[in-house]
Amino acid sequence: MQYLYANLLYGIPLLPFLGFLVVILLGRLFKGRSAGYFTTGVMAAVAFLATGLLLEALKAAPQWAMEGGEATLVRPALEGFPFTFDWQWLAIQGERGIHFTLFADPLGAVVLFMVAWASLFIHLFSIGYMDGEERYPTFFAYLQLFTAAMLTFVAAGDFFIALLAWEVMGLMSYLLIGFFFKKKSAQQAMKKAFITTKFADLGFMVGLFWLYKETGSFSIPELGVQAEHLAAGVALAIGLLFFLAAMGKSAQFPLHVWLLDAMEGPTPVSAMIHAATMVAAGVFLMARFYPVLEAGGALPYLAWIGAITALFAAVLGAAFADVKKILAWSTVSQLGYMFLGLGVFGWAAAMFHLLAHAFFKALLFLGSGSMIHGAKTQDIFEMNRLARYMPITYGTFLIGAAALMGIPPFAGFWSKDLILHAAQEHAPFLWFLGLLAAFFTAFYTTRLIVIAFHHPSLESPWKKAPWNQGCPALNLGPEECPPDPAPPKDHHPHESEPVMTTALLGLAALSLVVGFWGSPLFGQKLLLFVHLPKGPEVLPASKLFGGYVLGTLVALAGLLLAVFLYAKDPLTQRLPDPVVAALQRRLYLDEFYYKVVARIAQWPTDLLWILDTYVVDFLVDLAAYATGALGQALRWLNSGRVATYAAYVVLGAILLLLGGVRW
Amino acid sequence: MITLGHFLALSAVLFAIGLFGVITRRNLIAVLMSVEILLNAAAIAFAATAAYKDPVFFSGQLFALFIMVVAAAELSIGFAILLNVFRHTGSAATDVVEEMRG
Repeated sequence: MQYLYANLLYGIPLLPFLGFLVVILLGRLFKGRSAGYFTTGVMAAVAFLATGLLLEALKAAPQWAMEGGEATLVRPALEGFPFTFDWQWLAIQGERGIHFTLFADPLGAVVLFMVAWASLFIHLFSIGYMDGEERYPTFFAYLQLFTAAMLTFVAAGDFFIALLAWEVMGLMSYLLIGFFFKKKSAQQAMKKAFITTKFADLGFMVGLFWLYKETGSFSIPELGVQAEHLAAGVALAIGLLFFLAAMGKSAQFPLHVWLLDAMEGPTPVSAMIHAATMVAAGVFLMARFYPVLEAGGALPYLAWIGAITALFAAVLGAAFADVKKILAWSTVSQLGYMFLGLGVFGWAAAMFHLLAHAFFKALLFLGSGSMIHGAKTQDIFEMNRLARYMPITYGTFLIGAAALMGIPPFAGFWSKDLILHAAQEHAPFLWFLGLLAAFFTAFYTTRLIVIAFHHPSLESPWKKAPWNQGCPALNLGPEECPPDPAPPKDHHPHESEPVMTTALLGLAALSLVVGFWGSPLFGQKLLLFVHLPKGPEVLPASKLFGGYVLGTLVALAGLLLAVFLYAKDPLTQRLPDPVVAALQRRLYLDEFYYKVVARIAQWPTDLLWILDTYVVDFLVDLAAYATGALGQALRWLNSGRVATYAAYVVLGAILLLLGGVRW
Repeated sequence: MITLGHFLALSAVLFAIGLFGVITRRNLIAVLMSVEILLNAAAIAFAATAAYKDPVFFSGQLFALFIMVVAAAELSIGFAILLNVFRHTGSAATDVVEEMRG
């Protein structure tokens, strides 16, 4: 079979990288919105390539079919699959060196497709959303490099390349979160994100080098074979180190703290971080690393952390008033589901959820961007009956919200239920936590919709609450972090412009399509395509039916409770002050980090500072002073008179002669 | 009989005189004259060595010729510098020029 797009695999990460170079180097030449249109064009080309690649992968991959409730292999993979691209990058003669290897197996092809399309719509949306901002071209250049790094990470066939892409993503998230770096809170948030993820990245590095020491290979496709040769203890340790990295990147408890404050970035960046890149990278890493996790028995840790994160983030999501922060909690929570899925052997379910979540969360974030753009505030209480003024935003937001809540037949329903089903089989208690989280998910989503879209503008209780003065989570007082001003009373929201609504409609369509692709209504084709090497574990719909009913009931219960509580009277506080304060201040975890962990970390830092100042610097200064003092001592030799110098020359010659005689 | 040793001794004596002059004289003209003596001492050594040790090619004498040319060039530059120093400072003494002092 002749491949076209598979041979162009390298173009997928390369194009946005070139786009980044062009825009960052020629930024001044891009006037007005041209940088946005140019980079969106680049992304359109990337999305085209990724779609072509996915279609070829669908043809070339092993074909499985459902026969009598069992998945059977109809035809093995065609020659040349999984698609690979290999470029000997850094090599000393005779050594293997570092190869720039890309490969696309079914999972890679699907995730490349997801990243490319989500990023395309985020670019498109940003054209309108970022209009008139300072450093408009720079913003798009950053988005391009961010996308390029994620695409490289997803396609990487070599953990070393993956590490490079991973670190570039860390850098880009830092730069984009701090895009409005004149704001004190944005400065703090960018540092917080970088330090938190950097701490976790240590796990990646240590784990990677340990893995290399054990197996002598960086190769990702061969990891499955290598994992079998690892001693169980070593596999567990390496697995947990990589899990630490994924926890940081994918914002799992207790390293989730940076994600909330990442909302300081422009809204399209939040969509980018939460859907297409960054947080998906952690889950994806765990998916690639699955053989080692399974061999070492690290999976229960994933499941527990995931379930705890899913529940705790869903609860906190119900306590916030900033639309972006509510969605941020929902991301944390949904990522928790993915880790739970991976941890209870629901690998394919977790990947399905990753895919579905990327589209509906990008949709929700862009929708929230459209809401903020129209309503001129991020506080849901201050938004004025948006459903009336922003019909397209409202409609698409509902599709995204239904997918998030798990209302059939939207995307999140099918994927979340598969995860819960796997949990039910392997860890009933975690299954219960997951169901509870699903209840709260429906609750906070409905609360958001009811208050923001249906209520007239109200006075935000969030801003009045004494415990919310300043930004305690960023260690900033009320003067350094004042609340955003409320929009004027007579402000009438308006629907966003066509480039933005087009992006919303496109993502809504994609999230529906992906949901159906994996749903039993259409034969769970996605799960027959993306699976572990041993083959797909597809369950017949009849087995899932009980879970479907239960999931729907739980989601409806959460939905109805929120409608019941907030439809008439959204302002009444129903819990005692200390509880609300604890929830809204994120259970004081951020403050704990600032006040305790940072202080403890200060001690070794101080020690090193003393060592540096009084020992290292002393030695360096000593060398300089000694040289200077010697120069001073010998100054008198330089009389400035030519005759003296001539005498030195003669003296030198005589000494040389004497030396020559002796030898 | 006059041997090579005699010539080299003459050369050494001339060299020592020239060196003594270069180091001790304060007048730049005298210094330049001493340099001439130095050069000529070297030229004598070359020529004599060539005559005694290399009777076929006399290649050392070639160096003597070179030294004359170099001496002429050196003197012209030396005097040019001397003139400028004199104009600049009003004196031709070596110890006036001591801007290189450390």
